[in-house]
Amino acid sequence: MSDNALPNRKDDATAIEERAADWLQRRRYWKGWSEADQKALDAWLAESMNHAVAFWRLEATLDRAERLSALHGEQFQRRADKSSKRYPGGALRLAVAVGVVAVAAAIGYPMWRPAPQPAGQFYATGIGGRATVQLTDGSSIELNTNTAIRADVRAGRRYVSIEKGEAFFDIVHNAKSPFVVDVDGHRITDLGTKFAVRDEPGRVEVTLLEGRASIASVRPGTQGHSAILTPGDVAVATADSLSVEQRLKPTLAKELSWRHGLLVFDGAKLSDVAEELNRYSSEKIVVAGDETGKLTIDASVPTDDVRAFTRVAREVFGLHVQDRGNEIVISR
Amino acid sequence: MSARDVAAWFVREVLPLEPVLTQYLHRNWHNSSEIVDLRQEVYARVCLAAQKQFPDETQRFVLATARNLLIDRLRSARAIPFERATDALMLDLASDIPGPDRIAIARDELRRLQVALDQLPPRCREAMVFAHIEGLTGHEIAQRMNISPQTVSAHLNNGLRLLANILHGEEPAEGKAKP
Repeated sequence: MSDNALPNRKDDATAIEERAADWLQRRRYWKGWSEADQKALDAWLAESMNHAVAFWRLEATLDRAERLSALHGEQFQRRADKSSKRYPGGALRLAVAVGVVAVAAAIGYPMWRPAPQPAGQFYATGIGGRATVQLTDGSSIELNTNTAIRADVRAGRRYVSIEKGEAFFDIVHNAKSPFVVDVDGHRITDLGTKFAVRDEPGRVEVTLLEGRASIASVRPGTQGHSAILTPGDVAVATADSLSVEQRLKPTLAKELSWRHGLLVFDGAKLSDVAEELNRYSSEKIVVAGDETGKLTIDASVPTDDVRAFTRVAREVFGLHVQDRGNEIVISR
Repeated sequence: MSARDVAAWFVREVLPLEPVLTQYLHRNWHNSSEIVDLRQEVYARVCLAAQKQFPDETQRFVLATARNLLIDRLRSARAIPFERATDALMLDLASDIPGPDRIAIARDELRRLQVALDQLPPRCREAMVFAHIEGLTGHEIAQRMNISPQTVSAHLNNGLRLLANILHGEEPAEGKAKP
Protein backbone atom coordinates (compact mmCIF):
# COMPACT_ATOMS: atom_id res chain seq x y z
CA MET A 1 0.00 0.00 0.00
CA SER A 2 1.69 3.19 -1.09
CA ASP A 3 0.90 6.75 -0.19
CA ASN A 4 -0.04 7.82 -3.63
CA ALA A 5 -2.74 5.13 -3.76
CA LEU A 6 -4.72 7.02 -1.15
CA PRO A 7 -6.58 9.65 -3.19
CA ASN A 8 -8.16 7.02 -5.42
CA ARG A 9 -9.36 4.74 -2.68
CA LYS A 10 -12.79 6.22 -2.24
CA ASP A 11 -13.39 6.11 -5.97
CA ASP A 12 -12.30 2.50 -6.09
CA ALA A 13 -14.75 1.43 -3.43
CA THR A 14 -17.59 3.37 -5.02
CA ALA A 15 -16.72 2.01 -8.45
CA ILE A 16 -16.85 -1.53 -7.09
CA GLU A 17 -20.20 -0.84 -5.48
CA GLU A 18 -21.57 0.56 -8.74
CA ARG A 19 -20.34 -2.47 -10.60
CA ALA A 20 -21.91 -4.80 -8.04
CA ALA A 21 -25.22 -2.93 -8.33
CA ASP A 22 -24.97 -3.22 -12.07
CA TRP A 23 -24.61 -7.02 -12.01
CA LEU A 24 -27.50 -7.32 -9.60
CA GLN A 25 -29.89 -5.08 -11.45
CA ARG A 26 -29.09 -6.71 -14.77
CA ARG A 27 -29.84 -10.11 -13.31
CA ARG A 28 -32.90 -9.01 -11.37
CA TYR A 29 -34.74 -6.53 -13.58
CA TRP A 30 -33.91 -7.41 -17.16
CA LYS A 31 -34.64 -10.38 -19.33
CA GLY A 32 -32.00 -12.45 -20.99
CA TRP A 33 -29.57 -13.18 -18.15
CA SER A 34 -27.56 -16.06 -19.59
CA GLU A 35 -25.24 -18.72 -18.30
CA ALA A 36 -22.38 -16.72 -19.80
CA ASP A 37 -23.49 -13.72 -17.73
CA GLN A 38 -23.56 -15.84 -14.60
CA LYS A 39 -20.06 -17.13 -15.37
CA ALA A 40 -18.77 -13.61 -15.89
CA LEU A 41 -20.34 -12.58 -12.59
CA ASP A 42 -18.84 -15.57 -10.77
CA ALA A 43 -15.43 -14.66 -12.18
CA TRP A 44 -15.80 -11.05 -11.07
CA LEU A 45 -16.81 -12.16 -7.58
CA ALA A 46 -13.86 -14.54 -7.35
CA GLU A 47 -11.45 -11.79 -8.40
CA SER A 48 -11.46 -9.97 -5.09
CA MET A 49 -13.15 -10.17 -1.72
CA ASN A 50 -13.90 -6.45 -2.09
CA HIS A 51 -16.06 -7.33 -5.08
CA ALA A 52 -17.77 -10.12 -3.16
CA VAL A 53 -18.64 -8.11 -0.05
CA ALA A 54 -20.01 -5.20 -2.09
CA PHE A 55 -22.15 -7.64 -4.04
CA TRP A 56 -23.40 -9.55 -0.97
CA ARG A 57 -24.31 -6.32 0.76
CA LEU A 58 -26.43 -5.11 -2.15
CA GLU A 59 -27.85 -8.58 -2.73
CA ALA A 60 -29.07 -8.63 0.87
CA THR A 61 -30.70 -5.25 0.22
CA LEU A 62 -32.42 -6.57 -2.88
CA ASP A 63 -33.70 -9.57 -0.91
CA ARG A 64 -35.24 -7.26 1.64
CA ALA A 65 -36.76 -5.14 -1.11
CA GLU A 66 -38.50 -8.23 -2.50
CA ARG A 67 -40.92 -8.02 0.41
CA LEU A 68 -42.29 -4.85 -1.16
CA SER A 69 -44.17 -7.04 -3.61
CA ALA A 70 -46.62 -7.60 -0.76
CA LEU A 71 -47.81 -4.05 -1.44
CA HIS A 72 -48.84 -4.91 -4.96
CA GLY A 73 -52.32 -3.62 -5.71
CA GLU A 74 -52.33 -1.14 -2.84
CA GLN A 75 -52.50 2.61 -3.25
CA PHE A 76 -48.75 2.94 -3.00
CA GLN A 77 -48.16 4.41 -6.42
CA ARG A 78 -50.05 7.59 -5.65
CA ARG A 79 -47.25 9.61 -4.22
CA ALA A 80 -44.96 8.87 -7.12
CA ASP A 81 -47.64 9.88 -9.59
CA LYS A 82 -47.95 13.30 -8.04
CA SER A 83 -44.28 14.06 -8.39
CA SER A 84 -44.16 13.26 -12.06
CA LYS A 85 -46.30 12.99 -15.11
CA ARG A 86 -49.11 10.49 -15.36
CA TYR A 87 -48.82 7.40 -17.40
CA PRO A 88 -51.20 6.18 -20.03
CA GLY A 89 -53.57 3.73 -18.43
CA GLY A 90 -53.97 0.13 -19.41
CA ALA A 91 -51.60 -2.75 -19.22
CA LEU A 92 -48.38 -2.62 -21.13
CA ARG A 93 -47.54 -6.25 -20.88
CA LEU A 94 -44.98 -7.09 -23.49
CA ALA A 95 -45.46 -10.00 -25.78
CA VAL A 96 -42.77 -12.07 -24.21
CA ALA A 97 -42.95 -15.56 -22.87
CA VAL A 98 -42.59 -15.57 -19.11
CA GLY A 99 -40.46 -13.36 -16.90
CA VAL A 100 -39.03 -14.19 -13.55
CA VAL A 101 -39.82 -11.27 -11.37
CA ALA A 102 -38.23 -11.86 -8.05
CA VAL A 103 -34.94 -13.50 -7.54
CA ALA A 104 -32.38 -14.62 -5.04
CA ALA A 105 -32.31 -14.91 -1.32
CA ALA A 106 -29.89 -14.57 1.52
CA ILE A 107 -28.52 -17.97 0.73
CA GLY A 108 -28.67 -19.72 -2.59
CA TYR A 109 -28.76 -18.07 -5.94
CA PRO A 110 -31.69 -18.63 -8.23
CA MET A 111 -30.89 -21.21 -10.78
CA TRP A 112 -31.44 -19.99 -14.28
CA ARG A 113 -31.57 -22.60 -16.96
CA PRO A 114 -32.17 -22.40 -20.66
CA ALA A 115 -35.54 -23.70 -21.83
CA PRO A 116 -35.27 -27.48 -21.53
CA GLN A 117 -36.70 -30.21 -23.73
CA PRO A 118 -40.11 -30.57 -22.02
CA ALA A 119 -42.35 -27.64 -22.86
CA GLY A 120 -42.21 -24.61 -20.59
CA GLN A 121 -39.80 -22.59 -18.59
CA PHE A 122 -37.93 -23.92 -15.57
CA TYR A 123 -37.84 -21.89 -12.35
CA ALA A 124 -36.17 -22.79 -9.10
CA THR A 125 -35.09 -21.41 -5.75
CA GLY A 126 -32.29 -22.63 -3.49
CA ILE A 127 -32.50 -23.35 0.22
CA GLY A 128 -33.75 -20.21 1.96
CA GLY A 129 -34.75 -18.68 -1.38
CA ARG A 130 -38.03 -17.13 -2.39
CA ALA A 131 -39.10 -15.87 -5.80
CA THR A 132 -42.16 -14.71 -7.68
CA VAL A 133 -42.85 -15.78 -11.25
CA GLN A 134 -45.09 -13.42 -13.15
CA LEU A 135 -46.93 -15.19 -15.96
CA THR A 136 -48.06 -13.48 -19.14
CA ASP A 137 -51.73 -14.26 -18.44
CA GLY A 138 -51.55 -12.08 -15.33
CA SER A 139 -51.29 -14.99 -12.92
CA SER A 140 -48.38 -15.23 -10.55
CA ILE A 141 -46.61 -18.01 -8.69
CA GLU A 142 -44.61 -17.48 -5.53
CA LEU A 143 -41.91 -20.06 -4.95
CA ASN A 144 -40.88 -20.88 -1.41
CA THR A 145 -37.52 -22.30 -0.29
CA ASN A 146 -35.91 -25.14 -2.27
CA THR A 147 -38.59 -25.29 -4.93
CA ALA A 148 -38.57 -26.18 -8.63
CA ILE A 149 -41.39 -25.81 -11.13
CA ARG A 150 -41.91 -25.81 -14.86
CA ALA A 151 -44.44 -23.39 -16.34
CA ASP A 152 -45.92 -23.52 -19.81
CA VAL A 153 -48.33 -20.66 -20.26
CA ARG A 154 -49.32 -19.43 -23.68
CA ALA A 155 -52.47 -19.00 -25.77
CA GLY A 156 -54.76 -21.95 -25.13
CA ARG A 157 -52.52 -23.63 -22.60
CA ARG A 158 -51.87 -22.94 -18.92
CA TYR A 159 -49.88 -25.72 -17.37
CA VAL A 160 -47.45 -25.93 -14.44
CA SER A 161 -45.71 -28.94 -12.98
CA ILE A 162 -44.17 -28.84 -9.53
CA GLU A 163 -41.01 -30.89 -9.25
CA LYS A 164 -40.40 -30.18 -5.59
CA GLY A 165 -41.06 -27.69 -2.82
CA GLU A 166 -43.90 -25.30 -2.14
CA ALA A 167 -45.63 -22.63 -4.20
CA PHE A 168 -48.50 -20.18 -3.91
CA PHE A 169 -50.66 -19.65 -6.99
CA ASP A 170 -52.68 -16.54 -7.74
CA ILE A 171 -54.56 -17.44 -10.90
CA VAL A 172 -56.43 -15.06 -13.16
CA HIS A 173 -59.77 -16.44 -14.28
CA ASN A 174 -60.12 -17.58 -17.87
CA ALA A 175 -63.21 -19.68 -18.57
CA LYS A 176 -61.81 -20.99 -21.84
CA SER A 177 -58.50 -22.09 -20.43
CA PRO A 178 -58.38 -23.79 -17.02
CA PHE A 179 -55.12 -23.58 -15.13
CA VAL A 180 -53.66 -27.03 -14.51
CA VAL A 181 -51.05 -27.88 -11.91
CA ASP A 182 -49.51 -31.33 -11.78
CA VAL A 183 -47.70 -32.45 -8.67
CA ASP A 184 -46.51 -35.91 -7.75
CA GLY A 185 -49.26 -37.82 -9.55
CA HIS A 186 -52.05 -35.41 -8.60
CA ARG A 187 -53.69 -32.84 -10.81
CA ILE A 188 -55.17 -29.59 -9.56
CA THR A 189 -57.50 -27.87 -12.00
CA ASP A 190 -58.79 -24.45 -11.23
CA LEU A 191 -60.74 -21.59 -12.71
CA GLY A 192 -59.38 -18.49 -11.08
CA THR A 193 -58.31 -19.00 -7.49
CA LYS A 194 -55.63 -18.52 -4.92
CA PHE A 195 -54.11 -21.67 -3.55
CA ALA A 196 -50.88 -23.12 -2.17
CA VAL A 197 -49.30 -26.45 -2.98
CA ARG A 198 -46.69 -28.16 -0.84
CA ASP A 199 -44.93 -31.21 -2.20
CA GLU A 200 -43.36 -33.49 0.40
CA PRO A 201 -42.10 -37.02 -0.07
CA GLY A 202 -45.17 -39.22 -0.54
CA ARG A 203 -47.60 -36.42 0.32
CA VAL A 204 -49.10 -33.38 -1.37
CA GLU A 205 -50.94 -30.67 0.52
CA VAL A 206 -53.21 -28.21 -1.27
CA THR A 207 -54.64 -25.20 0.57
CA LEU A 208 -57.36 -23.26 -1.17
CA LEU A 209 -57.78 -19.61 -0.18
CA GLU A 210 -60.23 -18.26 -2.76
CA GLY A 211 -62.32 -19.57 -5.63
CA ARG A 212 -62.83 -23.19 -6.51
CA ALA A 213 -60.61 -25.98 -7.75
CA SER A 214 -60.55 -29.72 -8.15
CA ILE A 215 -57.85 -32.15 -7.18
CA ALA A 216 -57.62 -35.62 -8.71
CA SER A 217 -55.18 -38.45 -8.83
CA VAL A 218 -53.79 -38.90 -12.33
CA ARG A 219 -51.16 -41.50 -11.65
CA PRO A 220 -51.82 -44.56 -13.81
CA GLY A 221 -53.02 -47.62 -11.94
CA THR A 222 -54.23 -45.81 -8.81
CA GLN A 223 -57.74 -45.31 -7.51
CA GLY A 224 -59.20 -42.30 -9.25
CA HIS A 225 -59.98 -40.31 -6.12
CA SER A 226 -60.86 -36.67 -6.50
CA ALA A 227 -62.40 -33.76 -4.59
CA ILE A 228 -63.74 -30.29 -5.15
CA LEU A 229 -62.10 -27.66 -2.97
CA THR A 230 -63.78 -24.54 -1.66
CA PRO A 231 -62.17 -21.68 0.35
CA GLY A 232 -60.60 -22.83 3.59
CA ASP A 233 -60.19 -26.41 2.40
CA VAL A 234 -56.92 -28.18 2.95
CA ALA A 235 -56.51 -31.37 0.93
CA VAL A 236 -53.89 -33.94 1.79
CA ALA A 237 -53.22 -36.43 -0.97
CA THR A 238 -50.99 -39.48 -0.91
CA ALA A 239 -50.60 -42.26 -3.46
CA ASP A 240 -53.70 -44.05 -2.17
CA SER A 241 -55.68 -41.56 -0.12
CA LEU A 242 -57.23 -38.13 -0.25
CA SER A 243 -58.61 -36.24 2.72
CA VAL A 244 -60.04 -32.75 2.94
CA GLU A 245 -60.53 -30.67 6.06
CA GLN A 246 -61.67 -27.12 6.70
CA ARG A 247 -59.34 -24.72 8.45
CA LEU A 248 -60.06 -21.29 9.86
CA LYS A 249 -58.69 -18.23 8.15
CA PRO A 250 -56.21 -17.24 10.88
CA THR A 251 -54.73 -20.73 10.75
CA LEU A 252 -54.37 -20.53 6.99
CA ALA A 253 -52.76 -17.10 7.23
CA LYS A 254 -50.19 -18.50 9.64
CA GLU A 255 -49.43 -21.42 7.37
CA LEU A 256 -48.88 -19.11 4.43
CA SER A 257 -46.88 -16.49 6.30
CA TRP A 258 -43.75 -17.68 4.45
CA ARG A 259 -44.99 -15.53 1.60
CA HIS A 260 -44.06 -12.55 3.73
CA GLY A 261 -40.78 -14.01 4.93
CA LEU A 262 -42.07 -15.15 8.29
CA LEU A 263 -42.72 -18.52 9.90
CA VAL A 264 -45.35 -18.46 12.63
CA PHE A 265 -45.60 -21.24 15.21
CA ASP A 266 -48.43 -21.47 17.67
CA GLY A 267 -48.11 -24.19 20.27
CA ALA A 268 -46.02 -26.26 17.87
CA LYS A 269 -43.75 -29.08 19.01
CA LEU A 270 -40.09 -28.10 19.05
CA SER A 271 -39.23 -31.07 16.83
CA ASP A 272 -41.77 -29.87 14.23
CA VAL A 273 -40.47 -26.31 14.47
CA ALA A 274 -36.92 -27.52 13.83
CA GLU A 275 -38.03 -29.61 10.87
CA GLU A 276 -39.83 -26.65 9.34
CA LEU A 277 -36.95 -24.22 9.91
CA ASN A 278 -34.51 -26.69 8.39
CA ARG A 279 -36.24 -26.27 5.05
CA TYR A 280 -34.97 -22.70 4.96
CA SER A 281 -31.34 -23.02 5.94
CA SER A 282 -28.35 -25.15 5.11
CA GLU A 283 -27.42 -25.01 8.77
CA LYS A 284 -29.59 -27.70 10.29
CA ILE A 285 -31.14 -27.57 13.73
CA VAL A 286 -30.99 -30.89 15.58
CA VAL A 287 -33.19 -31.45 18.63
CA ALA A 288 -31.52 -33.80 21.07
CA GLY A 289 -33.83 -36.07 23.05
CA ASP A 290 -37.54 -36.92 22.66
CA GLU A 291 -38.53 -34.92 25.73
CA THR A 292 -36.96 -31.77 24.33
CA GLY A 293 -38.71 -32.32 21.03
CA LYS A 294 -42.11 -32.39 22.74
CA LEU A 295 -41.78 -28.91 24.22
CA THR A 296 -44.40 -26.58 22.76
CA ILE A 297 -43.29 -23.34 21.22
CA ASP A 298 -44.89 -20.04 20.25
CA ALA A 299 -42.62 -18.09 17.96
CA SER A 300 -42.33 -15.98 14.82
CA VAL A 301 -39.12 -16.54 12.91
CA PRO A 302 -37.90 -14.64 9.82
CA THR A 303 -37.24 -17.14 7.03
CA ASP A 304 -33.93 -15.46 6.30
CA ASP A 305 -32.72 -15.60 9.87
CA VAL A 306 -33.37 -19.05 11.23
CA ARG A 307 -30.63 -18.45 13.79
CA ALA A 308 -32.90 -15.97 15.48
CA PHE A 309 -34.82 -18.98 16.71
CA THR A 310 -31.79 -20.59 18.30
CA ARG A 311 -31.15 -17.34 20.18
CA VAL A 312 -34.71 -17.36 21.48
CA ALA A 313 -34.39 -21.03 22.41
CA ARG A 314 -31.40 -20.17 24.54
CA GLU A 315 -32.41 -16.83 25.95
CA VAL A 316 -36.16 -17.21 26.34
CA PHE A 317 -36.74 -20.94 26.72
CA GLY A 318 -33.45 -21.49 28.55
CA LEU A 319 -32.41 -24.42 26.37
CA HIS A 320 -28.84 -25.45 25.66
CA VAL A 321 -27.77 -24.46 22.18
CA GLN A 322 -24.58 -25.82 20.75
CA ASP A 323 -23.26 -24.59 17.44
CA ARG A 324 -21.28 -27.24 15.56
CA GLY A 325 -20.67 -25.36 12.34
CA ASN A 326 -23.32 -26.58 9.93
CA GLU A 327 -25.40 -28.12 12.72
CA ILE A 328 -26.98 -26.48 15.75
CA VAL A 329 -27.91 -28.85 18.54
CA ILE A 330 -30.70 -27.88 20.93
CA SER A 331 -31.06 -29.80 24.16
CA ARG A 332 -32.51 -29.32 27.62
CA MET B 1 -15.62 -22.39 4.46
CA SER B 2 -17.24 -22.12 1.06
CA ALA B 3 -18.01 -18.76 -0.53
CA ARG B 4 -21.67 -19.48 0.03
CA ASP B 5 -21.13 -20.09 3.75
CA VAL B 6 -19.12 -16.90 4.04
CA ALA B 7 -21.79 -14.94 2.15
CA ALA B 8 -24.53 -16.27 4.41
CA TRP B 9 -22.51 -15.53 7.52
CA PHE B 10 -21.68 -12.04 6.24
CA VAL B 11 -25.32 -11.19 5.61
CA ARG B 12 -26.49 -12.71 8.87
CA GLU B 13 -23.82 -11.59 11.32
CA VAL B 14 -21.78 -8.76 9.83
CA LEU B 15 -24.22 -6.60 7.86
CA PRO B 16 -26.44 -5.92 10.89
CA LEU B 17 -23.36 -4.36 12.49
CA GLU B 18 -23.08 -1.74 9.76
CA PRO B 19 -24.43 1.13 11.91
CA VAL B 20 -21.99 0.23 14.68
CA LEU B 21 -19.08 -0.06 12.26
CA THR B 22 -19.90 3.15 10.42
CA GLN B 23 -20.21 5.01 13.69
CA TYR B 24 -16.85 3.65 14.81
CA LEU B 25 -15.19 4.71 11.56
CA HIS B 26 -16.71 8.18 11.70
CA ARG B 27 -15.53 8.71 15.22
CA ASN B 28 -12.01 7.58 14.52
CA TRP B 29 -11.27 8.79 11.04
CA HIS B 30 -10.71 12.37 10.06
CA ASN B 31 -11.91 12.16 6.47
CA SER B 32 -15.55 11.16 6.19
CA SER B 33 -15.36 10.88 2.41
CA GLU B 34 -13.29 7.74 2.92
CA ILE B 35 -15.80 5.91 5.10
CA VAL B 36 -17.33 3.93 2.22
CA ASP B 37 -13.90 2.72 1.20
CA LEU B 38 -12.88 1.85 4.75
CA ARG B 39 -16.11 -0.02 5.38
CA GLN B 40 -15.75 -2.09 2.24
CA GLU B 41 -12.15 -2.89 3.15
CA VAL B 42 -13.17 -3.98 6.66
CA TYR B 43 -15.84 -6.24 5.19
CA ALA B 44 -13.34 -7.75 2.77
CA ARG B 45 -10.77 -8.40 5.50
CA VAL B 46 -13.35 -9.87 7.83
CA CYS B 47 -14.63 -12.22 5.12
CA LEU B 48 -11.13 -13.26 4.09
CA ALA B 49 -10.52 -14.26 7.70
CA ALA B 50 -13.89 -16.01 7.88
CA GLN B 51 -12.94 -18.23 4.96
CA LYS B 52 -10.59 -19.97 7.37
CA GLN B 53 -12.64 -19.68 10.51
CA PHE B 54 -15.66 -17.78 11.74
CA PRO B 55 -14.79 -15.58 14.72
CA ASP B 56 -16.48 -16.31 18.06
CA GLU B 57 -17.58 -12.75 18.67
CA THR B 58 -18.43 -11.10 15.40
CA GLN B 59 -18.81 -7.54 16.64
CA ARG B 60 -15.54 -7.55 18.55
CA PHE B 61 -13.80 -9.03 15.53
CA VAL B 62 -15.28 -6.51 13.09
CA LEU B 63 -14.29 -3.56 15.25
CA ALA B 64 -10.81 -4.97 15.86
CA THR B 65 -10.41 -5.37 12.10
CA ALA B 66 -11.54 -1.78 11.62
CA ARG B 67 -9.05 -0.59 14.19
CA ASN B 68 -6.21 -2.49 12.54
CA LEU B 69 -7.16 -1.10 9.16
CA LEU B 70 -7.14 2.45 10.48
CA ILE B 71 -3.72 1.83 12.00
CA ASP B 72 -2.48 0.55 8.64
CA ARG B 73 -3.85 3.58 6.87
CA LEU B 74 -2.33 5.95 9.38
CA ARG B 75 0.99 4.23 9.06
CA SER B 76 1.01 4.47 5.29
CA ALA B 77 -0.30 8.01 5.29
CA ARG B 78 2.10 9.09 8.07
CA ALA B 79 -0.39 11.80 8.82
CA ILE B 80 -0.50 11.49 12.57
CA PRO B 81 2.20 10.28 14.94
CA PHE B 82 1.65 6.56 15.12
CA GLU B 83 1.71 6.06 18.90
CA ARG B 84 -0.83 8.74 19.66
CA ALA B 85 -3.28 7.61 17.05
CA THR B 86 -3.30 3.97 18.07
CA ASP B 87 -3.80 4.86 21.72
CA ALA B 88 -6.96 6.69 20.85
CA LEU B 89 -8.22 3.83 18.71
CA MET B 90 -7.55 1.22 21.39
CA LEU B 91 -9.51 3.19 23.89
CA ASP B 92 -12.49 3.47 21.66
CA LEU B 93 -12.70 -0.21 20.92
CA ALA B 94 -13.12 -0.90 24.61
CA SER B 95 -16.36 1.05 24.80
CA ASP B 96 -19.09 -1.48 24.67
CA ILE B 97 -21.65 -0.89 21.96
CA PRO B 98 -24.53 -3.31 22.30
CA GLY B 99 -25.01 -5.64 19.36
CA PRO B 100 -28.25 -5.60 17.43
CA ASP B 101 -30.73 -8.33 18.13
CA ARG B 102 -32.73 -8.94 15.02
CA ILE B 103 -35.44 -11.12 16.43
CA ALA B 104 -38.96 -10.38 15.28
CA ILE B 105 -37.66 -7.76 12.91
CA ALA B 106 -39.90 -8.97 10.10
CA ARG B 107 -42.96 -7.57 11.81
CA ASP B 108 -42.01 -4.04 10.96
CA GLU B 109 -39.93 -4.80 7.91
CA LEU B 110 -42.53 -3.78 5.37
CA ARG B 111 -43.12 -0.44 7.03
CA ARG B 112 -39.40 0.22 7.22
CA LEU B 113 -39.01 -0.64 3.55
CA GLN B 114 -41.72 1.84 2.66
CA VAL B 115 -40.06 4.55 4.70
CA ALA B 116 -36.72 3.77 3.04
CA LEU B 117 -38.32 3.85 -0.38
CA ASP B 118 -39.80 7.27 0.32
CA GLN B 119 -36.32 8.66 0.95
CA LEU B 120 -35.21 7.98 -2.62
CA PRO B 121 -35.17 10.73 -5.28
CA PRO B 122 -38.59 10.83 -7.05
CA ARG B 123 -37.71 9.23 -10.41
CA CYS B 124 -35.50 6.68 -8.76
CA ARG B 125 -38.24 5.79 -6.30
CA GLU B 126 -40.68 5.51 -9.16
CA ALA B 127 -38.49 3.00 -10.98
CA MET B 128 -38.09 0.96 -7.80
CA VAL B 129 -41.84 1.00 -7.16
CA PHE B 130 -42.49 -0.24 -10.69
CA ALA B 131 -39.88 -2.96 -10.29
CA HIS B 132 -40.74 -4.17 -6.82
CA ILE B 133 -44.39 -3.39 -6.24
CA GLU B 134 -45.77 -3.51 -9.76
CA GLY B 135 -43.44 -6.34 -10.71
CA LEU B 136 -42.38 -4.85 -14.04
CA THR B 137 -39.20 -5.71 -15.91
CA GLY B 138 -36.62 -3.09 -16.86
CA HIS B 139 -37.98 -2.77 -20.38
CA GLU B 140 -41.54 -2.39 -19.15
CA ILE B 141 -40.41 0.30 -16.74
CA ALA B 142 -38.67 2.15 -19.57
CA GLN B 143 -41.93 2.14 -21.53
CA ARG B 144 -44.03 3.24 -18.60
CA MET B 145 -41.70 6.06 -17.60
CA ASN B 146 -41.00 6.92 -21.20
CA ILE B 147 -37.24 6.90 -20.73
CA SER B 148 -34.42 4.82 -22.19
CA PRO B 149 -33.46 1.43 -20.75
CA GLN B 150 -30.07 2.96 -19.90
CA THR B 151 -31.72 5.58 -17.73
CA VAL B 152 -33.85 2.92 -16.07
CA SER B 153 -30.63 1.00 -15.35
CA ALA B 154 -29.10 4.08 -13.77
CA HIS B 155 -32.19 4.65 -11.61
CA LEU B 156 -32.29 1.03 -10.47
CA ASN B 157 -28.56 1.00 -9.85
CA ASN B 158 -28.81 4.12 -7.68
CA GLY B 159 -31.98 2.91 -6.02
CA LEU B 160 -30.34 -0.29 -4.92
CA ARG B 161 -27.26 1.44 -3.54
CA LEU B 162 -29.26 4.12 -1.74
CA LEU B 163 -31.59 1.52 -0.25
CA ALA B 164 -28.54 -0.40 1.00
CA ASN B 165 -27.25 2.70 2.76
CA ILE B 166 -30.62 3.45 4.28
CA LEU B 167 -31.52 -0.09 5.31
CA HIS B 168 -28.15 -1.27 6.58
CA GLY B 169 -27.19 2.11 7.94
CA GLU B 170 -30.10 2.51 10.29
CA GLU B 171 -30.14 1.40 13.88
CA PRO B 172 -32.10 -1.79 14.41
CA ALA B 173 -35.55 -0.63 15.41
CA GLU B 174 -36.35 -3.47 17.76
CA GLY B 175 -34.71 -5.56 20.40
CA LYS B 176 -32.27 -2.77 21.02
CA ALA B 177 -29.96 -2.61 24.00
CA LYS B 178 -31.69 -3.75 27.11
CA PRO B 179 -30.05 -1.87 29.97
